[in-house]
Amino acid sequence: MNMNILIVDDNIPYRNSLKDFIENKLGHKVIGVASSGEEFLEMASAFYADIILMDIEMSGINGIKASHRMNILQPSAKIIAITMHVEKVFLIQLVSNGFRGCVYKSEIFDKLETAMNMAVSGHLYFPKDIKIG
Amino acid sequence: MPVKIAIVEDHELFREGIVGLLGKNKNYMVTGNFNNGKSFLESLDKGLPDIVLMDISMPEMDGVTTTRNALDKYPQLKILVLSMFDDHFHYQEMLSAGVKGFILKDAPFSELETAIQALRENKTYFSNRLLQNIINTLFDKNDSVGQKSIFTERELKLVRLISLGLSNKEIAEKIFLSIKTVESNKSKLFEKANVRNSIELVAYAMKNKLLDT
Repeated sequence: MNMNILIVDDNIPYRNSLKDFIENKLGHKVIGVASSGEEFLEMASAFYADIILMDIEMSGINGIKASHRMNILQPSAKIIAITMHVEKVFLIQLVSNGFRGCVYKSEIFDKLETAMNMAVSGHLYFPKDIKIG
Repeated sequence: MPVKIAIVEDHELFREGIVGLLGKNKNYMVTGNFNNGKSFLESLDKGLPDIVLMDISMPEMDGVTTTRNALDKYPQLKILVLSMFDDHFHYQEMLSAGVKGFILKDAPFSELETAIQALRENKTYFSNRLLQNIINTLFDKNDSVGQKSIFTERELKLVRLISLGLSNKEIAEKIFLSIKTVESNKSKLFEKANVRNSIELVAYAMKNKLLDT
């Protein structure tokens, strides 16, 4: 199934390579990109995305706060956390802020496809070594 | 202003018990009392409650479908799941549908009040005991991802069709392949799973939790 994906990440080179991977390797469409939580929350396309990939560590409204707000606006949004800092994320915090999954940046090319498939089919996907909280 | 609460629960004694407890407190007003999801959904067009207490297993329309439909139309609804401990098959579906919290049916009333307050403040509430259960189902599920890697997505689709008891002809019609191709694909599945027939294949799939994803 082709999915519409939205990427929120302030690291532009990383975001571009992720976009390239999603479009050219996974065959999905990236319908929008944002560099901050603020920018993301202004985007109408957020409501049309099948999956939102959200960097956790951003200045201003970070990924956790942005997901929390999106979850109030659209509880069925499928948001997957993307993080570089394994030690800084906790399962309970992510689940209770509306995330449906989490993928470490170091594993993204291996795990992203599974995580997205799980999320769109109504399941959750988190790394096994994630700290509970 | 009291918190407007709707309850959707088919077990009458339990439902009336909660309605009674909430009714004793002037901070709450029960504005809806439903024994199935369908009648709850029909009521929403006339006005929304602040909080919905939602059962999972119900006749006519279950909690998962009701939640999906309700939030599709009214995403601002705050839904708190009233869960039995063994409802774990549906935790992920309810979470994914967008519920804001879970509470166990045997929790004390004070915990229900805590949960209602959290949702009122735009927070979420997960009972600690349930959270552990959710985590367990989560990692069971991720484990099964590793195990199912012996099959491709296409093969898994075939496994699921076989598990429904469909004949080769019926499967062929469903996935637009010839009966011959279905037969040969089935043989490959048997070989991969090291089983001899469809029955063993379904048993293998159940054991490895391939059928519920």
